[in-house]
Amino acid sequence: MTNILFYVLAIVALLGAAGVVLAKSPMGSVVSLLGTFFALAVIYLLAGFQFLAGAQILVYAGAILVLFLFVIMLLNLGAMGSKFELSFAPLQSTRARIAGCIALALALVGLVAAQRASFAAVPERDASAPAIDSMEGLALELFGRYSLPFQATSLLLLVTMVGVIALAKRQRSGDEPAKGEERP
Amino acid sequence: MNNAYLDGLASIAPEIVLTVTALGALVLDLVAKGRDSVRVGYLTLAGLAATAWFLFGQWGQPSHTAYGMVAIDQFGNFFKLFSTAALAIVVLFVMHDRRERRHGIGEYYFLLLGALIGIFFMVSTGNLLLMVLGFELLSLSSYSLSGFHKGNRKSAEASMKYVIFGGLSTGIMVYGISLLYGLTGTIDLAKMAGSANLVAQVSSNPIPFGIATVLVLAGFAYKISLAPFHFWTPDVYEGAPTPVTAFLAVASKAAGFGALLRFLGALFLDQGGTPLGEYGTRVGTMLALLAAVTMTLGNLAALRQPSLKRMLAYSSIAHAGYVMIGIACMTRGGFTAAMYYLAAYYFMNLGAFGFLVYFEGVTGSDTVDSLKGMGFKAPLISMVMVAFLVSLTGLPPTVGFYGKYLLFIEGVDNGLMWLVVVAALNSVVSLFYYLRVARALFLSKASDQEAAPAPVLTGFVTVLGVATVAFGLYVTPLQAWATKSLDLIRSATGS
Amino acid sequence: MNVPSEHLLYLSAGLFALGLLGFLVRRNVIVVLMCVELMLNAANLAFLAASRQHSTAEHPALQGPVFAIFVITVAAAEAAVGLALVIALYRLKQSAETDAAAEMKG
Repeated sequence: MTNILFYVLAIVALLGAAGVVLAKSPMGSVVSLLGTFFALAVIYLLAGFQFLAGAQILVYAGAILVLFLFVIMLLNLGAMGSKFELSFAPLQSTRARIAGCIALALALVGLVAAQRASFAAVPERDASAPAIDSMEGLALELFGRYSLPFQATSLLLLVTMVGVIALAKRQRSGDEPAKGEERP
Repeated sequence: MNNAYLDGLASIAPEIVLTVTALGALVLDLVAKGRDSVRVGYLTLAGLAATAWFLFGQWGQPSHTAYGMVAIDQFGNFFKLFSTAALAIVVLFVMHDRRERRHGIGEYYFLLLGALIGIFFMVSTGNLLLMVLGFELLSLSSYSLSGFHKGNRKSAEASMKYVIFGGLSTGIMVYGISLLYGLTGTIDLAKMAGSANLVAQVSSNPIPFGIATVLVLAGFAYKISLAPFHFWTPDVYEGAPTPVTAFLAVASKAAGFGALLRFLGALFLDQGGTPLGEYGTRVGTMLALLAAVTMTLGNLAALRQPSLKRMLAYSSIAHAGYVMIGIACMTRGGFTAAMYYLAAYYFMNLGAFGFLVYFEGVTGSDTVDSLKGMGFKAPLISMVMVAFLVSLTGLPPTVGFYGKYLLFIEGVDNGLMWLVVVAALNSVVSLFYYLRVARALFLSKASDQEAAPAPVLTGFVTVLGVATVAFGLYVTPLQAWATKSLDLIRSATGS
Repeated sequence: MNVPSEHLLYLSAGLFALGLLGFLVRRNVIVVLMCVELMLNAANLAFLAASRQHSTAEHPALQGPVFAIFVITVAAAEAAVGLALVIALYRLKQSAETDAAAEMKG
């Protein structure tokens, strides 16, 4: 039963990914991506990763996608009220054919890699089994063995923050000020 | 708090000093409200000096692993010291570049130091998780730095391209690592190389492992701008502020090589005869092909660049190709030669960029044509520049010559004769465009442009020039250092 | 569910290839960044599939989920920087297409 659910969700995820590529407006891409993220979250849950499923929804759908939406709104790129439309136009140039071949080749390569990896069969997992990524186990790893990368992440985020502020704030005096812009 | 934790802190003291300095620079700029940007520069330099002091303190220590993932060894030390020195010089460039002083200087130094911490993690870990984090720390800082000239279209464009291609390479690399993890069940390189699972895989069916390795290598190829992942390089190098370009071309690229050497060294070095070793030879052949393509593309494109900055960008692509000769050998000798060449590359390329900073300050342009007659206006720095050009071409008596000589010897010894021939032909081609600069400097009629003196900038560019020639004449110390550094690469990746 | 791990990897390869395709054919920078997110998600799925494969009832293989958590962080950081640049570029050129970032050639 859950196996069938997995295959359905896998198709949903792939359709969503295709939607990202083909949607006419960026807004459509965001909505498709949201579908993919939700499908993936449920797949994580089925595979036994409860925390990751939660993080997927909270961080990807809740934070990153909202950021994308925010920028689309800010730049006024998503015409409100327009229908969700697919456009195959980006796929119909020579460049796109080459790109398509590359992507297809890589997909095949990935499939072959997965197929030849000779994994042992996984036992059936029932819903009451504890999650693989139990909070306790994850916390011990993150604050024990991986405490250094964990702290390095704080630096990573700080660098991002400073970089983003430096990039996005209005320029100060000098450096080719735009016409009519007041120098503070 | 137990003793292991505190011992670990002592081992990562250089990284901690850098973090504190970075935060200090940010706060000092905030407190001084941008009035006194020179003071922030001196603080940064002091922090770098302290870092170097701690690195020297780790010099004689037996190599060990802190926190189970940071290898404190000569190999890491080699790259860390060179990148610290390179960053110090870049900071001096920033302090003497009039055009850089206007920007939020605290952020500028903070991001540079953040990038250096990323480099430290990249070159000193056998744990792929920490390596990816270091990689990203370096990348994210570099993205912001290359877009630092806000309002300048080229800078914004450079930064955009860098982010987009950087995202792609991260995606490919992380996907490759996930496959490696699937095959071996570990993300630690030393454990991976010893994994019975992997050996069984490789001998029965090498395809999945090959695919995973190639995908991970793509990530490195992006950092070192190896074909076919070099597209971003010329545009980013041209659009970014010149000191940042110097940082990207020298420190960031060498760090990519450091991480690559550690990755390949941990998996394939000294594995002769085993399935993994045979596999390494095949990876070497692939890298040799890429090296040939990279150096040819870089040199041919450099021939027709009117801009000196863009020419240096293409020349740095070509140099990545030369370094790959040593790596493609997949032997200790080859790796040593590659490390020696990287050390040489630090000197000569930083010097060339120092000249570019000076010259952009004087003429406000970066074309080779506007260099005409500068040799008579600023004779010292121009002569030193000629020394860098000679070294970049690979002619004696410079460090670049001996570096290339070592690479070629190793290449011939390891059956890469064809690659050495390609590289030699490429060096001849490169002579043309390097000579063009020298000719513009000394053999053209002087323009009426006045050359403002910049004693400090001239001073340390000259020091780099002296080093370029001196290490070309006395090759032993640098070579001994490179050899010694490599000796510990393997013992220290295990935990 | 007891779907073989290979099938999870098939899905992951498919998502990755679609992300790459979108990266190569789309011209809108925002969509290109979304495609990068898609590729990172594919990597995460592969990590979790591998972790599931290597886990036993007593010894969960936690490196996979840990790596995935870090990848999510990195993805968020990259998206933030990328979008900040989109805004900076848009201010200069009033466009969010990659063609707007094609002044330098050669």
